[in-house]
Amino acid sequence: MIGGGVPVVARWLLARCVPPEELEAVEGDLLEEATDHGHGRLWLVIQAGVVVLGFVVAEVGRRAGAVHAAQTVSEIFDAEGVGMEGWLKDLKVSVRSLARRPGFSAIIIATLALGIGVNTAIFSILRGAVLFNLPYDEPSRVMWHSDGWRESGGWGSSQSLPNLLDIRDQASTLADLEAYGYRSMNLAEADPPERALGLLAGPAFLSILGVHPVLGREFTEEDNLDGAPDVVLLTHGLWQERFGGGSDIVGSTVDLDGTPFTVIGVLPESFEFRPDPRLLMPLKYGGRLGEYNRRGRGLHAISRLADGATRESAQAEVASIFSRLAEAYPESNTGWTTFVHPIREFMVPESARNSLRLLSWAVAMVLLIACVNVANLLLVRSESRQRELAVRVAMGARRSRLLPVFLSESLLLGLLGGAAGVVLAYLGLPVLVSLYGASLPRADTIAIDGVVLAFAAGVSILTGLIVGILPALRVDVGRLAGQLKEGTRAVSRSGQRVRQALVVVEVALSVMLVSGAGLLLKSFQRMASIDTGLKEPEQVLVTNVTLSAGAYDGAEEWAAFFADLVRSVEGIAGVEAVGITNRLPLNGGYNVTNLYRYDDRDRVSHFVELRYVSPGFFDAVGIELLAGRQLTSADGEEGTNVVVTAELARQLFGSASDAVGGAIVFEGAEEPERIVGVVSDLKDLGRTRAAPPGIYYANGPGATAGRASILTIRVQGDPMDVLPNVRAAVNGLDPSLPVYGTRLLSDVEAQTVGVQRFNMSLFGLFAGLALLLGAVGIYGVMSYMVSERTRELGVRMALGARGGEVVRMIMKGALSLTLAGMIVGVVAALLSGRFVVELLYEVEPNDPVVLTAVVVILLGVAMAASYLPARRASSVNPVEALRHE
Amino acid sequence: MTSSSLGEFEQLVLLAILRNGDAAYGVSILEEIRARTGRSVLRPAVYVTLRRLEQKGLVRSRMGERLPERGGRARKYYRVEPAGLALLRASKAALENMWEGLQAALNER
Repeated sequence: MIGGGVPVVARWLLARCVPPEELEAVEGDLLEEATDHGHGRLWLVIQAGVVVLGFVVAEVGRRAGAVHAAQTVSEIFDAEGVGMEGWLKDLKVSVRSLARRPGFSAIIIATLALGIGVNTAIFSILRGAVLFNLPYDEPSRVMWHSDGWRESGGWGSSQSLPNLLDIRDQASTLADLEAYGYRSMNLAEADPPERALGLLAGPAFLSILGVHPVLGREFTEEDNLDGAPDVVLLTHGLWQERFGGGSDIVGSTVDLDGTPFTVIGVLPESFEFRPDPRLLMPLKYGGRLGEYNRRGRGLHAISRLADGATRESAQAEVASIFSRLAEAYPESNTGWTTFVHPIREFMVPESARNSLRLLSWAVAMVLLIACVNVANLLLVRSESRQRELAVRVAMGARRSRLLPVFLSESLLLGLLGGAAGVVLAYLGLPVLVSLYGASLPRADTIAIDGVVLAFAAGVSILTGLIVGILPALRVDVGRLAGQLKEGTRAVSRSGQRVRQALVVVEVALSVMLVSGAGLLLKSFQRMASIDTGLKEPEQVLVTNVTLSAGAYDGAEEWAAFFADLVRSVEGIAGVEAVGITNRLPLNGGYNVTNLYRYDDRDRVSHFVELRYVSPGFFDAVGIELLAGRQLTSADGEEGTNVVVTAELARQLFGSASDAVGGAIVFEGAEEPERIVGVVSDLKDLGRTRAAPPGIYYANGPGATAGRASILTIRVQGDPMDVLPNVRAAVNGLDPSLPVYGTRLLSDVEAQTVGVQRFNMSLFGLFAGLALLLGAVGIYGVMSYMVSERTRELGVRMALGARGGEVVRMIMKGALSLTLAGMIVGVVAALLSGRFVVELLYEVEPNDPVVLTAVVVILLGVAMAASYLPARRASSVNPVEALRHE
Repeated sequence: MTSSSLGEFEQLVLLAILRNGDAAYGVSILEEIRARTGRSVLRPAVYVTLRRLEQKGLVRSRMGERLPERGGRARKYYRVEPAGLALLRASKAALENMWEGLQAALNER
């Protein structure tokens, strides 16, 4: 017996499709034959697939009521039609028959190309962004840790080292846990200077992931000690791009933020983490330990599950440890919870997963609609080929000869449509990716590669079989033989019914897609109409400048540099206002802390988002002063005067004007801070999440934003025009500094609805395709019905029916089909509403406005699609129609 | 095809069972047909046909011993029932009647 027995895939396939009483014998036969002939596991999987296909075709044939259904499979697979020569002959016939009707073939190929193209495109995004292999050892056992602030409900906030170390020491469900953080540094040796993202890793970080350097060594416990020599691990990309990829790199030094770091190794090319670091440095616990640091959330952690532990058991244990920590250290942990997630959920953001899952369903439905359309067209054609088929039958052809004729034709169509679809996907993919914007993970790895092509080929073949099997199974050899004798073309009643059923299905699917698109459109509008609190953000240039740590010493020098920079940028022509901040508006949630009213004996705690800004910041981004005065540079010297947002003023003092002159104290501090002004609110956690209110310090030696600042520059005219001058101003003060991350404030704002815009645009596109295909389907069926009834209509007209009556009669037929489809579709849309609900904002899945609009749109499309055939029917010339037969 | 006549493939399967005597099961039937006709027969055709023949009452099956080379799975052995034999005889007779006196005509080509 071959090692390992029947592969899991093969068993899974067989168990689903082979009758249970045959299963043991079939599996045993496969194994026995594999053993006898020395076949491998691949052979077993392929044979299992063939067996499954056989049983499926037999079952489909039986259920579809094919004539002599039970015999279908042996006839299909019987040697007569299956030999390569037989198929080749059929293929030639198919090519000729398709080439004879170029218009008909083109419509079918275009329809399939749309369906297969959108599926291929979404699959390649899904593959690149979600379904990729994580380059870790047993990635499903690696967990990602984060805290969550109860009031905002989500997970993903950063954590403090003392909490994490307590969890590591107490959790038995975790084999190991390690903290990490981020720190960006100026890589001065590179030309031009590069702002490089460094990952600060504790000693066990790489071993938890199971990643080993390709050159040099990993971090040790000694590297993690305070005062240990500065060492760095380079990523493969940085090593190749900036240092030439030589193995002598280990042991050399690189200049980071003005400090020499010794390179101890290079990570493998496959290494990956989010966001993409360029280099790794030891975290160095020292300064982050101690009880004071328990409140300073700036780190995250990864862990590896212990043997026998699951994510759920780890989550339960870690949460209970954390609740003990919250009791022991209420001032640091009250209001917080903690989470354990599989690392894949961190590497692939939830929003991307949700939206791609939904879009996968949408494109599958588009393909289904396309299949229904094509099956319909082929069905119509097979009816019109009855004579040709009847002749073949009379000449002695059996079903086994006719089936391959149908299937080879539809397979050929499927493959041609698939090829065109891949071209469509190739052309459309860059557009889709750019539509998603920066929030799409791993966008650079998204491409149409071998796996995507294999997917497209598989979908094409499946599509070809699906659209061909229905017409093929409806060939009734007995009836065909009879028809030739009669010499007339009998209208197949059951064929008519099948086509009508297909139209109903098509309308129902369209209703589902269009209503999904409507819901997303409405929630996008809701979201986009939320006021972010910024004024004319398209006039504001945003760019980053960060001082090298080694070159500037302390808050005095940092503040002096930025004060000089602001003055120098203010002098540039076209600049209206300049401000600096440590964090952009709409990007909050990072620097949260607690404070209370100075005169409040109960010390009721309030969460706030803390920012350090220069006096010009409010004017630059368009935040309004509501009461009191602006911050001044003198405030920065002292560092005790603050400005608060209207919301915080209301929470603490009841109103903006009452807050001015009020005093507040940060938790853990002794001295109060004085409120000198109140400004308008910001939507700080993006548009839809409740964010803590804000408090602003004037940036200066007394309250420093640190070395890293973001310049916000309000410009008259095109903001990008002043960028060269801004660069010159920065490098006039320090030529070694990179100016990076430049964009408009309106881009920052747009990013907060990027995912929603992507969802809405794509879903809208797919719904549009569905409508188009639906219209084509209705048109096709109604046209065919009219041409079938030419004789009947001619008689009616001859007996005095007016054109208007005929139009009404035909359209009534179309409308009743549409209505049936709509009822099915609306019910299905309501039932499937829960799949979209997590992507909606302030819109319910059963939104009556959206559903009404969908019904109206589909009715309109159905009327338009059936009007042309109806017009044609009303213009039937009775004499012609009767003579025609 | 009605149950009163046999399809060509059904005949092949029934004959293969008879040729195998008491040891006719999936693999041996498949190999018998392949070896004797030289046709490339696909596995599911045999299984689906066996199943149909059993439902028509033309063959009967029993599960055999569990074998290590089959991963501990049993063989399913088939026997032709009297009804199956009768139909085979009828098919053979019909064919022989059709062939009668045609040797010369066939040899001409």
